[in-house]
Amino acid sequence: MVSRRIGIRLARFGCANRPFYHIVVAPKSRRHQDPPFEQLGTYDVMPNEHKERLVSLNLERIRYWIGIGAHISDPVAELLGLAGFLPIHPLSYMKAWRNRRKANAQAGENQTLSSEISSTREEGLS
Amino acid sequence: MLENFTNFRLLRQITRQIQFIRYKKRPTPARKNIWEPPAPSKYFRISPRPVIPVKEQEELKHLYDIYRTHFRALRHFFQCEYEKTTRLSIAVAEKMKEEVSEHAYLMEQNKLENERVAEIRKARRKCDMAKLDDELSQAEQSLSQLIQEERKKLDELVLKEKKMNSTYITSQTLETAIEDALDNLTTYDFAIDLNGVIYRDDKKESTYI
Repeated sequence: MVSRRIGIRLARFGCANRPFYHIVVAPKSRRHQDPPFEQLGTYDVMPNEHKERLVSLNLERIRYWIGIGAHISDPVAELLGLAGFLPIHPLSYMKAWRNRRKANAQAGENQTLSSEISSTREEGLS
Repeated sequence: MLENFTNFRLLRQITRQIQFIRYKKRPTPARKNIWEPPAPSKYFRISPRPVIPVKEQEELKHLYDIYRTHFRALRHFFQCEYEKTTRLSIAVAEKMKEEVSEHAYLMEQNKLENERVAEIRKARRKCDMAKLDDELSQAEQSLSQLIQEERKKLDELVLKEKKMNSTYITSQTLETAIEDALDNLTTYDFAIDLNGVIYRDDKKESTYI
């Protein structure tokens, strides 16, 4: 069994203003760009022309590393949850409901704003 | 909060006695160096803590409980899967045993095959040696024949020379040969045409003997 100090995590590659991540297995004590034990996939954060964020995963090796006892960092757990490999991570749910709440609030504001505008217009017309 | 307050007071007291170079130009985003104390204007600033509603917190806790349970189950499953493929498992041990027996069987087969091939090779070599012997004897024969022929030729040459021997001028016959030559003078001062007719110049006295 491997110590839990070894983790599956993101390592930032890419350059300034252009994040790109490798999904790697490495000890937590190591710096993120140090040579890892193994690369398990990639994650392109920036949406491409089709508005997709591309993720590649070596599921076979991920199974192996989880089986051996490696820890999984939250962002990677979220990715794996969205990929359907693990159950969906609570943080994903949290982000979703917060975004939804924000969007609803915005929509409500917009609605009130538009109703105000329309009412003022009506007043102006009358 | 009180603790923070007291700490900052202490820090202020200390920092008044030390001079720090606050660099004029810093790369953006500007950031203080790690050894610099907080700016005097920020001494008593306490950053607001994130407010998480109780309902949300409860929901998150519930979700985390479920997630952890599922994840643990999955990890256990992967662990079992991994152990299946390692040496410790029974299946792998059996497989190893099978492999060992198969290896032994294959080695035996290989040995048999080698023996068979060795026998064939032996026969072939024997045949080859016989052929080689044959060739050698033939070569010897032809060589002896060649030597005999050469000897015959040489013998013939010797015989011929011996026959010619009677006409040779020796020290004994030298006098007679000279006399004979003087008696029979031969002139080579003549012309010859294509038909082999010899023309001699009778008018001219020959200088040659």
